Amino acid sequence: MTRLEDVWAALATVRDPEVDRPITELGFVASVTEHDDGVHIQMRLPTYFCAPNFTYLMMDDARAAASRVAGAVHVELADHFESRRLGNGVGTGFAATFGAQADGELDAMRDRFRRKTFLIRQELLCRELEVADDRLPSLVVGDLPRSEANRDYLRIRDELGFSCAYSAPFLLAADGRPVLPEAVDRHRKAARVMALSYETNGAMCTALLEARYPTTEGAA
Amino acid sequence: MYEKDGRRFYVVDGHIHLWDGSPANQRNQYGAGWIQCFYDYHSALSPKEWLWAKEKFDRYTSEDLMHDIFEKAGVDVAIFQPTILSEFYLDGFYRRRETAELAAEHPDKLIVNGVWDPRDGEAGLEAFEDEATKFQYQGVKLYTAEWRGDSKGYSLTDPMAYRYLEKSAELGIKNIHIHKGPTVWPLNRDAFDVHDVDDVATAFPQLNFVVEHIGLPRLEDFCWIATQESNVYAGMAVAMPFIHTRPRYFAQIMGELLYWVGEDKILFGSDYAIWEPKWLIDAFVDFQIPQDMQSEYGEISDVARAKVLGLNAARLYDLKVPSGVIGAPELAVVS
Repeated sequence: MTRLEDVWAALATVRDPEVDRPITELGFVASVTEHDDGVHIQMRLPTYFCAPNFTYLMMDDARAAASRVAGAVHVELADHFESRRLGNGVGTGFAATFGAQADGELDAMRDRFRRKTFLIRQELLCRELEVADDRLPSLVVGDLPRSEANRDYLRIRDELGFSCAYSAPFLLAADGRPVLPEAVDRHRKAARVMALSYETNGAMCTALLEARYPTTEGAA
Repeated sequence: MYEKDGRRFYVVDGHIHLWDGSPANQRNQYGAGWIQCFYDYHSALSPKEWLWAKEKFDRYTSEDLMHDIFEKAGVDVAIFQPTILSEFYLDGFYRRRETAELAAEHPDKLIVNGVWDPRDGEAGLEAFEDEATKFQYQGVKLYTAEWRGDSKGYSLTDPMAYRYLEKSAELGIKNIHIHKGPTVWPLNRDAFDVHDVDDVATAFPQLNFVVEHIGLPRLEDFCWIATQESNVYAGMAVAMPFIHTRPRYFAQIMGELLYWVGEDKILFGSDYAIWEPKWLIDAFVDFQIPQDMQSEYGEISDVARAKVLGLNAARLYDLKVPSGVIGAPELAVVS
């Protein structure tokens, strides 16, 4: 792989926290180019007013992932009301970027969305398992299929510090505690609407990005 | 009245606008960005034959509005949900004077909601009381991401917001429409979070809280709150056009709302002029949960459709539902 291909591959590991899909797949990376001062990553988003906090998270994650493979990188954002502050601030911290308009970093928000994402990936895995609800609480991590959905699931389970050992109980609540048999139905219905919310966000982002940056007629 | 295949529906479009987003009214690049963003929503989710030219979209006439909503779509009553945006537009986004005149001309068709902002403090409270008395508001529309100087928004749990809610209750303004946006103070907090609605819905049981755009992008949090609070309603604006572009998503969304919120608390809204009500209503009266999803979500009945399209809003705004429309007798028994 060339250096730029390495950067694209690194960017594919960065996800929109409200959608749980790679920013490359969502079309948020407009270009990656080589310059004298390093690699330039040009990002773009579905709206001029996309929330600055989630935007900062994605830009900062893109910066971190790309710099691991390419050293010096610059992340810029086009056509956004905070393009300048975000472009200058990425890497320096959210509070430093927004001064008095922020009262801290984005850790709490990131944790909240990581837990939601965990519940959604777990729900998608439940659907793949095709096991009756009453059996779910007795399953352990070792019972899970060797699928891509499971790899994604175990990765975030690990990030949250929940055990991924073979005998660890599978179905967990957002705080890492096992879901009790009588709570499975409610748990899955809550996860179902969470998954739908993320999917709807993704559908909205994709439609708006296409309206904003139409793909050229005849292009793939 | 809307009629199709012999079925008559009473329709309340719970979310409409008369705006001026034209370059002449734009204060800065934010005003240009705002109307372009609206236009992108319009073009992304409208059927091709319903697309408007950008110039018309920037600033349409009040005749366009009356024609599109009442003559073309058969809507009975429509509710203005004003958005001020004084930091983006010289004369405000919402054409205040024209809207008031239009409503005065058509009092049986148009309802205008008020607006307040807790950052206007005590002085604003008095001004709001005078205005509410003059216009006899039944509802207010709150946009929590409204900019004001250095401030990028507010929370309903701010102490001053409580004062305004108390005042609203005192004035008999019982319908509080809430629209969340991308910014709030502090910026590191999730501005779309609807948990402040949970708090005020508990504190003000005499008020109805209509969460516009069904809490999107936080549908899950909204649904959860609506199960806890009996005075929380779902405003369908922005979710409606999925009925055309992504019908299966729309079916899932309706299925979830029927399960969590219930058919008595879902309110139709077009968000005109982002989308025209005609095609949304045409699609909705024939909408059914697809067969393969019915084991999960059940079916939607004509009476449920009628409730969403108008009967629920009629209850909130004390509107008289004519006889002969679907669901009308049942409503009479309930109230």
